Amino acid sequence: MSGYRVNQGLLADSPAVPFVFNNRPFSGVQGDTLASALLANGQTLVGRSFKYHRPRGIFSAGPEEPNALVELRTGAFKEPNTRATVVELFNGLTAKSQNHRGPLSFDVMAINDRLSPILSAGFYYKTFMWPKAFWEKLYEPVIRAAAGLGSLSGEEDPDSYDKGFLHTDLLIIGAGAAGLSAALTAGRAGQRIIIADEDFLPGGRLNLESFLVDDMPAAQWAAHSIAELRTMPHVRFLPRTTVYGAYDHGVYGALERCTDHLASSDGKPRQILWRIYTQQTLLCAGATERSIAFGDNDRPGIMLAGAVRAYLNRYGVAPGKQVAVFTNNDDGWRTAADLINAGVTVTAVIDTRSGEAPLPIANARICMGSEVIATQGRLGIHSVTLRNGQTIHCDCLAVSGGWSPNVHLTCHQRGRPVWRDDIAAFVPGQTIPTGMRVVGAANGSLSLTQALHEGHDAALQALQASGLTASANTAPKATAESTDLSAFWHVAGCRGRSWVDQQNDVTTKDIALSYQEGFRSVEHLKRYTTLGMATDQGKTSNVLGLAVLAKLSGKSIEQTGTTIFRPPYTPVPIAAFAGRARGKHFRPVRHTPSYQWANQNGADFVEVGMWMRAQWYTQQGESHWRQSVDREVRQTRESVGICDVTTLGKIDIQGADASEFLDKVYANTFSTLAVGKVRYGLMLREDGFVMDDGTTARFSDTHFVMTTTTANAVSVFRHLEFCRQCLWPELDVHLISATEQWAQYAVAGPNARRLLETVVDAPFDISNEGFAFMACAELSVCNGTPARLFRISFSGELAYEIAVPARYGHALMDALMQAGQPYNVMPYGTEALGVMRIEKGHAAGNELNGQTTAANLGLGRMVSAKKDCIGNVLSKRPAMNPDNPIELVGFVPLDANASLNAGAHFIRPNGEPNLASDEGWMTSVAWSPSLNGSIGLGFIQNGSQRLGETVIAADLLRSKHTEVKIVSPHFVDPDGERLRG
Amino acid sequence: MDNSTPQAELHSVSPLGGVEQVFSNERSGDTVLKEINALDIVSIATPRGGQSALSNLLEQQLGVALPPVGQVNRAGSTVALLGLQSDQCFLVTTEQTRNPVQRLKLITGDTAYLSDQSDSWVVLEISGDLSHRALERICPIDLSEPAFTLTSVARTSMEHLSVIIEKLSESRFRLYSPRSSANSFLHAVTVSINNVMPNFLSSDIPEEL
Amino acid sequence: MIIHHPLLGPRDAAEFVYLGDASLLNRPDPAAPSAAEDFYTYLHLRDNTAGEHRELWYHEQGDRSWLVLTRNTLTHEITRVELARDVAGQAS
Repeated sequence: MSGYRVNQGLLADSPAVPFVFNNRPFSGVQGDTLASALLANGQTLVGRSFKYHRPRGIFSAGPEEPNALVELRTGAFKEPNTRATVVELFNGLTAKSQNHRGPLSFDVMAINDRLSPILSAGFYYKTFMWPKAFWEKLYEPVIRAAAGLGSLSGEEDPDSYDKGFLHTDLLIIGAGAAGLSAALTAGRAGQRIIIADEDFLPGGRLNLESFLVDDMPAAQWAAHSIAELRTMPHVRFLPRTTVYGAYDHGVYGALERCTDHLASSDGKPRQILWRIYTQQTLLCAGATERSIAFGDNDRPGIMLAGAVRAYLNRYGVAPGKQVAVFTNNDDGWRTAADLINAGVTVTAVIDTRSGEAPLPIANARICMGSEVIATQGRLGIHSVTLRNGQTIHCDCLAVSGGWSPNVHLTCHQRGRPVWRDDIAAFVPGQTIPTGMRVVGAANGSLSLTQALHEGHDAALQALQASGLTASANTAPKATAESTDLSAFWHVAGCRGRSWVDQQNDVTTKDIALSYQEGFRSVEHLKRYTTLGMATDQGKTSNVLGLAVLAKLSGKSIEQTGTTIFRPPYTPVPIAAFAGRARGKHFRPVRHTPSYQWANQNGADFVEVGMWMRAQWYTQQGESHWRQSVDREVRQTRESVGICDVTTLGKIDIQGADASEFLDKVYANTFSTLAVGKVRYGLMLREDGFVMDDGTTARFSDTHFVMTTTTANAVSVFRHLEFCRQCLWPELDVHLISATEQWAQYAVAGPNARRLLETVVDAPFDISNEGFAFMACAELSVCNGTPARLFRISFSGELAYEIAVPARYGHALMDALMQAGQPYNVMPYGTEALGVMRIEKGHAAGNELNGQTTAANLGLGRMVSAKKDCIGNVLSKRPAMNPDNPIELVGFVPLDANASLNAGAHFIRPNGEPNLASDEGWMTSVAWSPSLNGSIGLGFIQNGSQRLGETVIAADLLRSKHTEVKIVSPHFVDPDGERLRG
Repeated sequence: MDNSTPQAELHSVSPLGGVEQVFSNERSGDTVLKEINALDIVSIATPRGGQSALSNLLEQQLGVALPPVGQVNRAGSTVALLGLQSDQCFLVTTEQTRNPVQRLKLITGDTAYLSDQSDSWVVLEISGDLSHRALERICPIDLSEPAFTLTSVARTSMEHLSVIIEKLSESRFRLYSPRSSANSFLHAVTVSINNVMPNFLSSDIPEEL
Repeated sequence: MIIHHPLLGPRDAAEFVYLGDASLLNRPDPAAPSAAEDFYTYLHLRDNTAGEHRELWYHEQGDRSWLVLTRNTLTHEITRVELARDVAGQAS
């Protein structure tokens, strides 16, 4: 309990904001983060560590935070692993610390800390190896319960999320000194800009320092600059927005947190995932401070020196009453100076460097060339021990090991950062994303003056690249500062453990062990020790870890290299990636024009791709789907039925060379097709296998309409465009999809013609002579509605397909049903359609599965020998024409009451059910109302010559072996008399 | 037995039943989303080598030449040609007829291949100051000047649906999407409007800053 | 990725469908004595280039044109975009 509000900073006049932490009421002020408010209330201890359950406190003041992870909100809104340092305080905020059993101050799992000698790197991999079966059932659940982070609510996320697309000429990532300086220069010249900042208060370091910019306090200059930018219509300001990834060709991913700072989202999206397209980018992402490894350097109260300064200057909060500073650079001294100026006691400044103190710090002990070797205090630090044995009291230790430029986004396309000895840090390398410039601290230019100048200069370059002229302004002027540093990483010879990665409880000893055991590449080190993993991705620890590894191997840090930086820069909720694509909005739904009609008439729907298709229509008294389907089949075969076939793909093909084109894309010939006729077409892939089938009608010399299967409508269209543009561009042929244009219905059954006679307008002759099997025509129906009629049959009955413009689909269905009343017409769904096509032996999706040839389907003769077509040459390959080809035939069970299973494989009687004796498989089965028994279609070797033979249909998955007889696939009307009648 | 009586003329149904929604907001004014039904749409494909002949003919007869892909040529408020492919455009007209292909064929004869598309699309118009912000949530195309002008047209994808978009004024857009998924498309657009509308604009900086 | 369509300008690659090596434009002569071997090579044998690669993309959510991209498979840099129709026309 040592932090307190010193009543200054940028929040001096902010209203109070009540919140709850670990069920206790607290009070912060508007503009606080949860972390600053907790510190202001003296709450030093905020969590327990991942593995050892060590007490931990707030370490940083930004997105790099490794320790202060909390569960936010309650119930379904609960969000674990939220960094308290970036959580904007709001009235009623509820937060809980994580990873402890019992109260935070007395965690029973802290026993793990005593066990630390055996819980070192790779411990799990080594210890829980055997017995193997124990891993999943025992070890893993126990480990997961003991180690880990926050817990999920287990409920569906009640918030909504959105996505969006933004376009700009210049994207500025980060609205700190460099970003604002650049934005002002570019914005004043009229450039289209997006400027994004992850903070809710843009300004970056300007809000954290006691410097002047253009003779006003830095934070005030930032506020003025933002106000000016907001008046520019061509500038889009995105606060609370993290640019988390750099992708190819100037595409950036960004997450905007719209309502996270509000008590309720109020029906609005909580977050938006933006895809930003930009010509040029300025990366002004700043730098992140890192620590120094020394004995017990993880106690609550030990913080980064820059964070201490941030809490003081921005939030008016002193994290301790007696602060000591441990540093290897001049920047750490500024923390001491600002604390003194604010009236906070600084007990000592310990600098690893010898020589003169860079700044005078009143009343503090100055220890040049010294090191902290140990710290004391159970739930919070109370003193440090120096190398010379001196003990210094402090309730807060501010540590600075130097600053690491935030190079992450420069590396997202496999760019490698390069080492700079003068600042002991990695800076962006030569290969960075196209169109990107890196400016300010992110570029290793750590002083405010440099940042402001580089921002201005980069903006001038960006303007030049866009052909714009800058107005005559110069870079803002800032207080000078010194950023001298002498690299120092690890205090040697400490008795206590020296922590490198606090989030993952990785110590210097773990790194040494990893090295000793052969995990010496940085990528191996990361996986073996978990250094740099999880929510912070090692933002404060990676370089320190590399330095320790480099020392062990005797290599330089540059030679040691870094792990690869990958998106996202900071965590992005999965829900944001999902956006609106949840539940029934996962993908669009397609309805046919008579969907409502079907809905009103008892249809049960099935999803076929995105289409909702009626699978059967339940009538009163029917309790099982089979009753409905059997009735629909019987009634169609006995009288007449109607099926909505709108979903079939329809492609309008026109052109002087359309018939030649069809000859090339279909295995069979279409140039010989007479106008007013339809032909079944078989389409092959270039490798000779069957791709799709359907009918194509010819309406004039230059006009064909092709149908495709519902599932392949898009891929066939794409294939035809490929043939048209890439293979035969000299042909005059044009394609347009007409699937959506026409509502189309199959009218099938002995009374189909009688029904349609009442619908077609005079003088159209629908008689068998006037409109024979496989005829097609354009005509009008129902007093003038334009329509198309095709005499084609999938059911094997006398059948037609009638099409009208989609707007008339619903009305046509009504009209057909009315006209069919005398014949007790019934609508039928996809199940009855399937039963009837199996009864008729027509191949469908189950048979056209991409592994079957025309010969397999009994359609070998359709592959014309007189002309070339796609797939013709390779369909003749020997392997596709073996002596014992599988052939499509029918199957019936010997036991008339037995049912059949699709997917069963055929073996000879008494054969072993194994691969060697496999002769083929059952593709489609149905219960046939027409035959009053089960029937199936399937492929079996030499099937057409084995009619009458008995084989076993062996279904090993369902442990069911059925004796079946091979029969003709044409169960109903094998000679096709009905459909021609 | 009434099957001897002639059938009544078929009743036509629009994809969304002529939906019109007004989204009111004090800060941003009204955003209006409206289904447009009174349109005939015919695709016109240009025979190989027949580009200039067809273009001249259309200019003489309809007052609009063939547009390049990505551009709209309009004649007054009744006729527009939308350039969608290098050899294909859509004629969109408010002068409706029972058989639009038949009528256009009288003009084009053998100089074009025509296909009726009037029933293939649901057409929505979105207007109001929030149009741009709403479309930003679903449209990957840059809709601002000079990338997208009042004579621009583009086919793209929004929420997995194919969409043709044209700009009628700075704050008014027309969107064509396949008819069968009209409800999903309407949902996509209304959610977009709702998401940018009430309470606050997500990207706005709150007053206190 | 952004593809600079020769007629439409920059468009998101999400609007496109990828097919593969642009050598698919060069369909062999089906009447040649070596047709079987030629088609086998045409369809199944590909160079797995680390560097510049010519490949076919289809603007399905756009103007339905097939394009030939020259793309560096190491950097994703796209140096050339042509209409496949033009490329195929030149070849024949």
